[in-house]
Amino acid sequence: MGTVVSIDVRNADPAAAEAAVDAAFDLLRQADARFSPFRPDSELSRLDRGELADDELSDDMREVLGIAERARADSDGVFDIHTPDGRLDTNGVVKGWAAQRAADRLAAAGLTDFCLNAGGDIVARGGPEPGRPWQIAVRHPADPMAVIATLEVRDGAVATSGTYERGAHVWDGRTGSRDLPLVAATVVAPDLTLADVLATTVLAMGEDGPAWAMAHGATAVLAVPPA
Amino acid sequence: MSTTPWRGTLIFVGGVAAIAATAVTRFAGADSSATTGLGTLGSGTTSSNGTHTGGSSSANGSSSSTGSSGTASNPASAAQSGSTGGTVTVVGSTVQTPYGPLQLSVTFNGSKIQDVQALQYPSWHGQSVRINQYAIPQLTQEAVAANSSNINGISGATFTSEAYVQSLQAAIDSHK
Repeated sequence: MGTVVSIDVRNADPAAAEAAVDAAFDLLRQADARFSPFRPDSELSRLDRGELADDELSDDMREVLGIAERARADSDGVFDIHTPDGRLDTNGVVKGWAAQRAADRLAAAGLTDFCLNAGGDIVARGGPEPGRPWQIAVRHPADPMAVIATLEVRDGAVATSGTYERGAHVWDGRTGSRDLPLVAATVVAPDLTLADVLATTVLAMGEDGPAWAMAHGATAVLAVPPA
Repeated sequence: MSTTPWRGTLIFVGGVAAIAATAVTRFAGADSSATTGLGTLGSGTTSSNGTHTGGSSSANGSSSSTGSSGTASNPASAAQSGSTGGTVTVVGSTVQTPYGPLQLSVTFNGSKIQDVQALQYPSWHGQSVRINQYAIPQLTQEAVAANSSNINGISGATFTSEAYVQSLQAAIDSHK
């Protein structure tokens, strides 16, 4: 996925934590191999080239496509994994989905206190120390070393979509436009699969986005219009 | 210590605690160091006017309830921010709670909260309410620095491996 994943584990046996983290990274690598648009032999690339029939798709691909389709329907087409130039781009779903699945693996291994950050999208469980929630800051759109808000999260996910880091990688599925009404959108939700999809949608939806996201499962939304 | 303030408009939805957090920290980085709670809907308390050290603020029951609308208002029309000099007003869009619509306006002067108004207030004032059981965002009135040991993670638009090196997350990771 071309990004960096950080996992901060607290309050755990070191050997157990290391094994769980290894398993979580294995899942992330699997997802990257399957959904990478940069690998010609990835399942996504083959699907995009029309080389796979519906019954040849993996369960993971079906799950991701299902999430994308629900998001498209829920957003009246704003969220769409079909790019304006006719390609298939599942990045809007896969990163949050894969990171949430990795976090679920950590939890299944018995870890109760961890913070997983996949390239700016975060799953938090428990806290860094007893009685204290994780402190999650939201990056300043114009300054990678500054933040504009801090959120305390105990069990939840925080996803941010923005135009400032990787350029115009998000589009409005209704119009195909990559000229978006917001600079950044941050969504807090119970899980990262949801938070990531909502954040991407809010970014493209603009002023109607925050209320829409709150009606679709967000706990909080922070939208940054152009200054 | 980063000192880049945010000077634009922010649209914030998510209840008392959440909007407070944004408002304060948008000017953080310079000098604010006080820590406080600004009313935590998730803690079982009903207060939305907790103490803080910056200024006078209360979103109390005396605020008028203007709303009976059952639908969330347009955040854009709701989120008119006035910015003159150092004073900024952030108006949250209406949040639908199971108890009615909630909309707050928070005015900042520098890093200090000057005023908090409840533009729409649900009928649950005085009751014990828990808005969300999963994630309760809160505002912390702390300066946020690049090497702050208080910050555990940074949420931002996806960075590349190259950009990570220059990111605040990298600074945090390197301090573990």
